[in-house]
Amino acid sequence: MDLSKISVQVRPRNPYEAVDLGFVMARQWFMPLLWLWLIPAAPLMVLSYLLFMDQPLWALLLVWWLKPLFESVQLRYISEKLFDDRIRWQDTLRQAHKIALHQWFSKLVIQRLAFSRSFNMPVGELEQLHGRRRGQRLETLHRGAGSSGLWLTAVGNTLEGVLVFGVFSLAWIFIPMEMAIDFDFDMLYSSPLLFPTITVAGFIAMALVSPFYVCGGFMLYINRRTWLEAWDIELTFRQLSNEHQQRGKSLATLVMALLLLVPFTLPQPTKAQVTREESQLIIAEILESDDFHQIKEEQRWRWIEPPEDAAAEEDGMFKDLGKWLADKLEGWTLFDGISDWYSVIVALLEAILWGLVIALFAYLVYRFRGLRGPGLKLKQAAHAPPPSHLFGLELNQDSLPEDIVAAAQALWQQQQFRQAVSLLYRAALTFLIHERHLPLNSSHTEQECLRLCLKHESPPRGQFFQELTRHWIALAYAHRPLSSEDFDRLCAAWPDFDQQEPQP
Amino acid sequence: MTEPTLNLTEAIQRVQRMREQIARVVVGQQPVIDQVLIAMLATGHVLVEGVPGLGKTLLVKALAKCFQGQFGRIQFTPDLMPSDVTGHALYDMKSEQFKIRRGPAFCNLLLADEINRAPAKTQSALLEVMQEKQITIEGKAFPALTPFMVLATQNPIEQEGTYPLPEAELDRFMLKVLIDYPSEQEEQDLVKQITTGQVQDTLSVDAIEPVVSATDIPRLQKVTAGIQVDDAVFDYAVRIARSSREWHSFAHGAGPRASIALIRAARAHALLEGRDFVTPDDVKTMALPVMRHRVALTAEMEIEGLKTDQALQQLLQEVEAPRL
Repeated sequence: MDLSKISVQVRPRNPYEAVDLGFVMARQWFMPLLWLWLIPAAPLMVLSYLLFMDQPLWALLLVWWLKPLFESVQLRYISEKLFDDRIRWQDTLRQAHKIALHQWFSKLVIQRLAFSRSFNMPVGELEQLHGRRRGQRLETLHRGAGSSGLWLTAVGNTLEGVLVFGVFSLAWIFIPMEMAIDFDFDMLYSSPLLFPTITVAGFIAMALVSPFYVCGGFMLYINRRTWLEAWDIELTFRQLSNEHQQRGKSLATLVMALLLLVPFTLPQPTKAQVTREESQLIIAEILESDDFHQIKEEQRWRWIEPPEDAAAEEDGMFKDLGKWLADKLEGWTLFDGISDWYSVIVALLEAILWGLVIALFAYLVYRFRGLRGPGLKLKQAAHAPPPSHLFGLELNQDSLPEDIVAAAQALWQQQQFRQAVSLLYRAALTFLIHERHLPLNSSHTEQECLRLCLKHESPPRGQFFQELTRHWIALAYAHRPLSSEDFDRLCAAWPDFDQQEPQP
Repeated sequence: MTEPTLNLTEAIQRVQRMREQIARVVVGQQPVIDQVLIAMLATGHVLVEGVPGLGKTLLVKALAKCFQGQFGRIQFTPDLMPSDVTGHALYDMKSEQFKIRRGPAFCNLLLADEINRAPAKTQSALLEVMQEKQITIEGKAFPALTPFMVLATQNPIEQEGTYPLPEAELDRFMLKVLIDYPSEQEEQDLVKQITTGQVQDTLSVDAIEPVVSATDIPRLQKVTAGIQVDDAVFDYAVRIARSSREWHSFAHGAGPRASIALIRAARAHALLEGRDFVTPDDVKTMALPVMRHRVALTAEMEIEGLKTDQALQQLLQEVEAPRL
């Protein structure tokens, strides 16, 4: 393996980026990968189909079980292609039987149902590890990306399921309408077409998903090794070294570069030139060097639980405060069990938070107290400022004359009947609004004003206002003037109406 | 010879008599009776909305009976054709001529039951009769009977398989009346009345005495049209209709037909109240039935759960009563 020939950009990625890169590779080399899967699998499928003619699902199950064999061929191709673009899939195919049957027992029995199968596969296939060493290696690799390998398998299986359903549905929509009339979807269960269709669909789904599954797992593996063995740094140093060699720079620079290169190339198992025992010695030597025996002083805060009696002396003030608060809050069931300083702070915080929640609730209740209907508009408060205009009449107390009756009678004398009654009516409304605080607003019609008055005022006052309203309506809308007698009666009754009395 | 015009007192008396007669059989639906009478006096048509079994047919029959009018009924169904409403020409072999067979629309009171069950084509056949008061069969226009009034009913539930009335057609109805269940006491009276000494399950309109004649109705309508309306009241009605167009709760407001209908209905309401002039209260009372089918709530308000009537009430609370 020559890292400098790798055809992807080497850098530490997170597992999902790695899987994504794997999918890009699968798309790049999709057809070769598909052929490498189909050429061994298709004849087998046909053979097993013929074998289990009456039970086609068994044929599918057999091919599904043998999937790791076909995938190992794909894996070999992709691993070689990654480092050498000249590799042809036909060459890989020629060795397919050897590749597939290598460790076949492990692949088909021990490892067949492993959750992270595609992520584990390179360890056996490419590193040629097996047994306990394989297990150790996997443990190291899984530490960072095991769950992603698992998810890749889960997604792959789901996608296969979706594709089976998709192919199945495609077959279904191609059935002509005339046939489909008496061909219910439920009938498929009892149809002889069901299992052959599922078998074909399942086979197609497996073929389509496998390149992505294998490449995704493989790139997870490569990425994990990039993290563990610092492939990216190694590559950078190699490039540096190459550049210097080519430019014929000074010997010293070259030596330095090579020296720097040594420690990074050492851990790579494929490059190891020393035996296991020798390496243990080297490790022991390195560990004894000064680099691992430097003593550095650091200061930081650490909580020390003080003994009960000592605590009182050390931070008496805070303790006292804490105890005081705890005592105060002891009887409160909300803070049951509060005994020490720390709990008091927590309890205080809790109390503050509860206070905030209650305050917020109270604010919301206050803010939307008059909400009418679904979030539309605030109702007018009971004592909203009284309207200054009603029916176009100015209703300010200042706009009215001091002596209403005298002013009205003066207008009557001048033949201004309408103005005279209008003045009385306006004065009555002003009185009801300002003195009696009747909740009248500008949209209230005469009858509505009257109803409110009759409801809230004493009967004599109500009767007077009713009489006045009647005359006013007749005058204003029927253009029917009232008689002088009626007007005089209204004027005579006015002082009783206008009289202040304690509010009910 | 034209009939002598009625004076106001006579008109008020006749209307009150009709009101009493109808209330004898249509129990517990006084507001509905009043609104239907108002629509008739104002020469309008009524869209009645309510669940089945609340006496809509009975109401129409009773109304027809009390002025000796002809009553027609069409049950609208999805396969109803326009000619089933208006009538059609039939070839008579004997006379070798086409003869016009008049449809159920040739009557004084037409009950269009569940109007939204028929497709738009049939619904629009009613439009001409309602608006133009004439019926065209094979290119020949026949005048509708006088008085002519359509009472269309709609079921608020079971909206599946219905054709909602288009805005233009809704606008043709003067009032939309909501008919609701009677009160407990009224329902008790109703049950007593129906089950005592009677074998049928429906109230009979036999008890109703004809108190006016069909020719009286146009005269009553004429009196209604002569009811005095002050400029301030005109202004109030127009302001209500106009403000619905800018009101935030409505996607679209009421058109000028609403203002017209508002004044006409207010006049009839005043007559029903025994007055010869319209007050702002008449307008405000009629605003809901006149406008509820002419406005459409915005989607937001519908999502908020606001009803059209609630929105209209809010609008009425904001529109200033007449200025004088």
